[in-house]
Amino acid sequence: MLAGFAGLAHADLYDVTVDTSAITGTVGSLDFNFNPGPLLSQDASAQILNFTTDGTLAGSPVLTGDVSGALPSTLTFDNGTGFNDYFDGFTFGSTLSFQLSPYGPAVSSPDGFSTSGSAFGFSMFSDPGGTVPVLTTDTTDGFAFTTSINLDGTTTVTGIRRKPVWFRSRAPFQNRAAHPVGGCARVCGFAGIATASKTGVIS
Amino acid sequence: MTASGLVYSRVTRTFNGTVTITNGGGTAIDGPFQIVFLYPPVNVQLVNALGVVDGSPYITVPAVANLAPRQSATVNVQFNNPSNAKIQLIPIVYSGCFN
Repeated sequence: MLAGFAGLAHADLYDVTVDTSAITGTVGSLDFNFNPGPLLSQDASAQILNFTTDGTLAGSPVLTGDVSGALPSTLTFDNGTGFNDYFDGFTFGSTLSFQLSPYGPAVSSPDGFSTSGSAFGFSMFSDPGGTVPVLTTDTTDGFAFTTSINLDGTTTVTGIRRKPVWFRSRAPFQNRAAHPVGGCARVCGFAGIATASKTGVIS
Repeated sequence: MTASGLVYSRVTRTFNGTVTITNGGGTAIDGPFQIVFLYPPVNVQLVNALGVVDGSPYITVPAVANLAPRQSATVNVQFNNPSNAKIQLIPIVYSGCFN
């Protein structure tokens, strides 16, 4: 992991933008998954919103577990089963972007006794079968980034491997213990591929 | 003891996360620390287990000689779960070695 930040409070909405121009025309695939941990996890959900791209979604997506929707429309994931996954063929254009919104009781009202969080992972592949990760230096696991819902309702983004990445929080959020900044945080990785940012309002 | 959520890697075909142990007592505890996952579900394997004790897999928390009060340590966990079952484990922490 080259960059990351912890302690973002609930009601976060992350803007994710990936510059895919280096692999334009590649017939590949996208994967999103959101799962509980191996102990006791509180109910949590996540949505993928406003997916936009000049690439082309291909074929029929494969949905596993508690997932509903179909890109480019909203996807909704719950952590009710062990594996909640959306996998779709994709021919890359020059860019793709979406918003990630974690929400639910684990985010808005942590119960104080659960012992596992939940986690979201996003990966891109240069093959339709989803075996060759692309636009990441995480060649071991292939994640472009992951986001964890922590036991105190905060979220942590890790695994930004390439390029400046900014995660922008559109919604006001509460300040919480261990919040790293007051106002605006920015995370930068290597130059080149993916871009994301994060700003926030402390209330 | 707490754990992160598990993200699934299509590359390794494993569910990956972390487990964190915390010394909630008032005195330091010497390591090494072993985490045993009792009676894992059928078809769920702890891929990075160091070994098995009484039929249950365990891992060693790396590079922790001792834990001061309120101090935590984290270890990566990686599960093979081909049936995609919900993984719910019962962990127990031991200090010392199983040899």
